[in-house]
Amino acid sequence: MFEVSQQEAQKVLFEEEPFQKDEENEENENIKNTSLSQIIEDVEGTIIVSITNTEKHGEGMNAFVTYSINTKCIDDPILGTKDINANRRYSDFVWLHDTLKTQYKGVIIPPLPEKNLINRFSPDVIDYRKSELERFLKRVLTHPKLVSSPHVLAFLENGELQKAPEDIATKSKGFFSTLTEKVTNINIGTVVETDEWFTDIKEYIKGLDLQLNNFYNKTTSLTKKRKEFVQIWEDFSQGATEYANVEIEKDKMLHRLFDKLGEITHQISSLHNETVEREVSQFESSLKDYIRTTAAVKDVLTNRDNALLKYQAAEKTLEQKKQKSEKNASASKASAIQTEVNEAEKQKDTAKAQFEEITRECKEEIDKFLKTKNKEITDALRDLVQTNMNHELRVLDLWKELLQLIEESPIS
Amino acid sequence: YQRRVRGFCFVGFSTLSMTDQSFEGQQNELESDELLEDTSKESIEISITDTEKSGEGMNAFITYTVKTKTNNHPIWGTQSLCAIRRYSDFIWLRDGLKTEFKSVIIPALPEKSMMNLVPEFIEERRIELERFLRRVVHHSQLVDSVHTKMFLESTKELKKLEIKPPVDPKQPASPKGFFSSFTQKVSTINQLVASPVENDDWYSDNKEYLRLLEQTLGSFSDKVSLTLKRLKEFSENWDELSVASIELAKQECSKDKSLENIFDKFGVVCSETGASINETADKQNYQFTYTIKDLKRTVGSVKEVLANRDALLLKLQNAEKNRDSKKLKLEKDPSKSNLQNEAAEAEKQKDSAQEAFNDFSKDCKIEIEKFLSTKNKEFSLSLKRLIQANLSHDLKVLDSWRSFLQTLGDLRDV
Repeated sequence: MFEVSQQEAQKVLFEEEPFQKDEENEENENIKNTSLSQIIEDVEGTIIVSITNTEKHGEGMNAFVTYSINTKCIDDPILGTKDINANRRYSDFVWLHDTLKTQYKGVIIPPLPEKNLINRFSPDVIDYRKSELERFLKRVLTHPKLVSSPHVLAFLENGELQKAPEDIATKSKGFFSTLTEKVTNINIGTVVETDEWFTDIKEYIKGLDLQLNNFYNKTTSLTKKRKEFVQIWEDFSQGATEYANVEIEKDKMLHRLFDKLGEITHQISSLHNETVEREVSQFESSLKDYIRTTAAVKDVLTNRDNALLKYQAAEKTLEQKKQKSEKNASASKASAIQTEVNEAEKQKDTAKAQFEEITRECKEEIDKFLKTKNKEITDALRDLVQTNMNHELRVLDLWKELLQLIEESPIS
Repeated sequence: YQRRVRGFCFVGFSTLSMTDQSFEGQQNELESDELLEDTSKESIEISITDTEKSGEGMNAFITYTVKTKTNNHPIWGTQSLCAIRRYSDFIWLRDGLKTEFKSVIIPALPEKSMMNLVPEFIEERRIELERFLRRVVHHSQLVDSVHTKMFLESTKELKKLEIKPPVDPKQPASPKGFFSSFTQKVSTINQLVASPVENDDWYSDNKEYLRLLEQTLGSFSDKVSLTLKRLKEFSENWDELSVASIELAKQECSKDKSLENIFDKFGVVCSETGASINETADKQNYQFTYTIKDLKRTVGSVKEVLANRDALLLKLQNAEKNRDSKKLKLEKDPSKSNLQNEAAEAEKQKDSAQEAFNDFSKDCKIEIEKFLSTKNKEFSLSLKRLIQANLSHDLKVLDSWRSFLQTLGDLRDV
């Protein structure tokens, strides 16, 4: 029952339009929120989270933005029923993200938007961040394991965030990273993958990351070029209109035609502007999100690799201790060596258990990822198609207008 | 079936004469739209069939093979001619025609270019030179010129040919020729004006109009060219995205067949879009940019004719001044016979200058009015082609995206 309700909530949340920030009409927002919650009231255990406002604080070097988060819980098995608010800044989100990464090594932690140093306070950037951060929270809250983290609740309730120094240390470095954990065991070498499923997945993720980034780069090149057309068509329009004005006395027909040409090319310029904005805000950002998520998958695989390394090292140590015990026959050292063997055995068992646990979790998460990623990328492509088709249709109509004008004009 | 225009007729400057196969269809469309006189079996067909690069480095140049085929032509009868010419030969021809037919708007040539002789440039030039020749031979006066004959026929080096300028029956025979310099023997009392004073409203109006026309066409043409350049770059971006998508599809091959399919199809959409943009840009270039550039150049030719008229006007105004001063002298001393003679002579000169000027102005006006009406037809036709090219592009692209949308839609149900 719990699983189903979470999925349903997820469906509702993902198909929701991002809330419009409207300071004057917060009333409407609340009404919207309420009616939505009323719809899903029948479904047990729903959480609706939204970022309702953004605010800039301070000046110059020390300026930052806070995001007002509102969370409505209705009969949630873990959080109960409540309406909580918090004001958080970007670094707080980073804290939450990194904390979850340390706590749940086998879980694919939803990614955050990148730290942006340029244009931090432009409305577009803030808007973009707001929707990405909201998406992050929604994903966290719909994950059965992450939602139960006390840190999540503290974050949402505006509670104090325990920012301990070791939380900063565990930053993911990626697939081929060197060991990030402090290990004193001298038997740490390179990981020997024993599971074919994982060998396969690692290859796949590596290639996917590469191709996705390439695909993303080509997409941004395309949208960048389209941005240029805004000015290009505007210039064309100016040229046509200028020429039209020269013909105003001598050739009324050419004047009308080229004036119209100037008009439609001006509109084509605006269309390109609209289209590129949508392409960037929808398709590009979806792609970027997909890339970040793939990176998060790599983090999880790295965590498992580390656990495997630890396990394999522990096995080697145990082996060494056992050999040592066999070689040494003297009674005086025998018990000491036996203790070492027992200790090594215990450590090996712990490492093995941890490894098996994280492997299981990993596999579950990656399976889920493989199933769901299809939908998000397909949705993004669908939006891109519709944006482009819409663009072409409107451009088509403009040219038709001009064609009609020509066909109405007598060609002497 | 070729058509030949008779009479004093400035033929359209935009008979798109492309020998490129892919544009044949369009060419036929154009010819059917143009209202050229339907004549009998007389015909002349000109084409530049070949281009060849000769020489090395700084001294490299292009030669053009000019082939002429005539059928029952009053000048050539029925025969085939062939000549190898270079750009400077075309200049020779045009300069010759300019000198011979001062009131005719001589078709324009593409500009001399120091640019590197890349294939696109050479092809563009070939088309423009071909167009130039076709206009020349379809003009009843220009086709008759000995320069034209020599250009199409002669195997000798054109620059070495000595061609006597024809005697213009309208002008009095003068040892120096009518268009000799303005350094007439004029009394030093009379000041020579540097440029004439335009007294005709129609002409002053049109001079200003042509000046503005040339200017705006120049800037418009630059903007159109830039648009086309960017469009070609845009199509390349689509191509690259297509390749990236197909690579991504390969990656998904093992894990997600449906995503593989999607990215493959997306690759197809991108490449079709890129191809269509590229094709449309080319069409726009051939249709629209050429027309604008061509029109601008022709305005230059019109200005040449106007300059010729200005020269006659200047002559007339100087003759008037001279006559007036001689008259004045005579009035002071009416008995002197030599002054009487000078006054009479000055009057005669003024009269003949007046006649020459009036006739020229009349011919000129006809030419310019023909130019203006042809401009309208050609430019609006060219605009129509532009629209059609864009419409067909939009439709093609829409189809492509629509079929991709179906692929995505089919997936939703899975």
